[in-house]
Amino acid sequence: MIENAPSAVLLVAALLEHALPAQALAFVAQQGDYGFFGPIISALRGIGLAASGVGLTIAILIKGVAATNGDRHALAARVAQNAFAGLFLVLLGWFIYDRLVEWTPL
Amino acid sequence: MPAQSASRRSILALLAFAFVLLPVTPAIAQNPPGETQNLGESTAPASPPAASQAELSRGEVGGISGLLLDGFKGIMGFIWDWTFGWALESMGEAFETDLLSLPTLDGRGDLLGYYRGAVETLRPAILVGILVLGILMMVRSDNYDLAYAGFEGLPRLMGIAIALAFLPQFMGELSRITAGITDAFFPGGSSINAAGQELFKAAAGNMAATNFLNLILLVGAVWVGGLLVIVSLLNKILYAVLFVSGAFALTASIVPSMQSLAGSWFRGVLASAAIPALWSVELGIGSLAVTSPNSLFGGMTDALGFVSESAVTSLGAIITMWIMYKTPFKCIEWAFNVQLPGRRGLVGLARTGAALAIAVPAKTAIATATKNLMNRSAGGGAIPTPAGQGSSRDGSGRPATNGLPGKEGAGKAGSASRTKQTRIQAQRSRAAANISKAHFKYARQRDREQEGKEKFMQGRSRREVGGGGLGKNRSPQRSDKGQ
Repeated sequence: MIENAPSAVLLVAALLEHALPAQALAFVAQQGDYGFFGPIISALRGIGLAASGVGLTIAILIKGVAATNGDRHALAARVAQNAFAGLFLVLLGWFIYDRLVEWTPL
Repeated sequence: MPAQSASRRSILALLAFAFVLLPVTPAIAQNPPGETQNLGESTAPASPPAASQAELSRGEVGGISGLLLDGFKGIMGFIWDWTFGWALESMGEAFETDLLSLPTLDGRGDLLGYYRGAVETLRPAILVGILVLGILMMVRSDNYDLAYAGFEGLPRLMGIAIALAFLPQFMGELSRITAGITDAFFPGGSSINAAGQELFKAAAGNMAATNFLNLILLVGAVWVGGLLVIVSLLNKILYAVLFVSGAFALTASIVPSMQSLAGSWFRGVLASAAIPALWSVELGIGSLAVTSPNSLFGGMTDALGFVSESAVTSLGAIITMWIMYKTPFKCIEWAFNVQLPGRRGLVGLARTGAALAIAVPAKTAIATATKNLMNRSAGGGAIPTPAGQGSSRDGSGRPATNGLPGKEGAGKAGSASRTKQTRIQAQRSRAAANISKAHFKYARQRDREQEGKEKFMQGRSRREVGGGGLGKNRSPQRSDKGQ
């Protein structure tokens, strides 16, 4: 699965895995086998991580060049806000999903 | 369709049987009761028909015809033992076991295994939904829909995940509830057996040609009983299929355009659980109608005594069986919102015709009244007359009165319904006329008020502007009032 992911994702995943070996986030280090949906989830995960990473980087860059332009600062803030909101949504959703799978009384 | 052809076949067989019976019945009438002859030896002594044969032998007829009749009864008893009696007995036993209940999923590991497989395959689709939502959230601009989807979508995805997790518990509880209802109302196999014996006794004990109702009932009982067994098996299979496919239906509801699938699936589950519960109630009432008709029909039990001794009982049981036969189809039609094919016979046609006959003229009348109201200023002071009001006099609104043109000249049978239809029509047009009269009065009053206001405004504007143009000021005022 992991070789399908873009290298940036791979890098982030590797970094996080080194940083948090015991409790690596499932979203980043895709634990578990998702069967039929595995490739789709892997691809979407890569896209999501890349989008959030790129979004945050761009937000920082915009901030850097904004200087005294308030509109650009606002734009950067909005981009960063979107990236964080998306990331938060995915992390929360994935966490709840994992809990549900674990607690499923099947 | 096969069920209908089967019913036709059974009715044909019954008619043939009635023709065989007919020559026997005058013999009963001609010969007074004579010496007793017991010809019940051909049947087993412990079997239910044997008991009924013994009871039959009390009102025996003598002579050759009596001998023939008794022989016939003996053969009938034998046939009963080997066909209806056996079928009813085994069906009663089957009903006594859990034929009417639904699979409770207790100790049915295989079925649960199927479900678990389906869930484990499909559950990651929720993760796909979460990821898509997150990416949409990241790339959204000022699109309100995308922002809304994030907040709306996550709880729904979690709801689906919870539903997938607890579906086996839900299905198990549902079948346990159904089993409880069935246990509470189901009369028990012995009761059904007793009802069958009662019916047979009534059929064979009174060999009049008019007693054909009981024979119809016996054939119907076996037919419907067999049908019930088949349909209850189908229902069990449907329930199991719905259980396993529940995972698919719930997961598919992630896609917004497929949300109706989950609703349809849930209604299917409810219908599947409702069928045995309804059947148990109907079976209980049906067997009550046969074993103790007085408790159900009261004084009506002997109302049809001139037809046959227990005609009310037989009719009651036939009707109950008809309802039982209809129940699953109605449940399925409700659940999946479909009209099952091959069930639109004369009744459906008559219903459509009646709906058209009432709805079309009524709609015409209401539409005319409304139109007249709308054009009231053009029509002057006259009270609007809805179509069909004066049709009985001059025939100008004839199609409105008589409904469909094809209904005319239908003969005597149609005339009664036409009279009723005309009466309903007249009532409706009267009501419409009343409404239009009242509304017309109100409208005129409002017009008058409006005129007063306009006059007042004109006076004011004249005072303000100093005699401005009448037409200029009037129209905006009126349009303001209209809104």
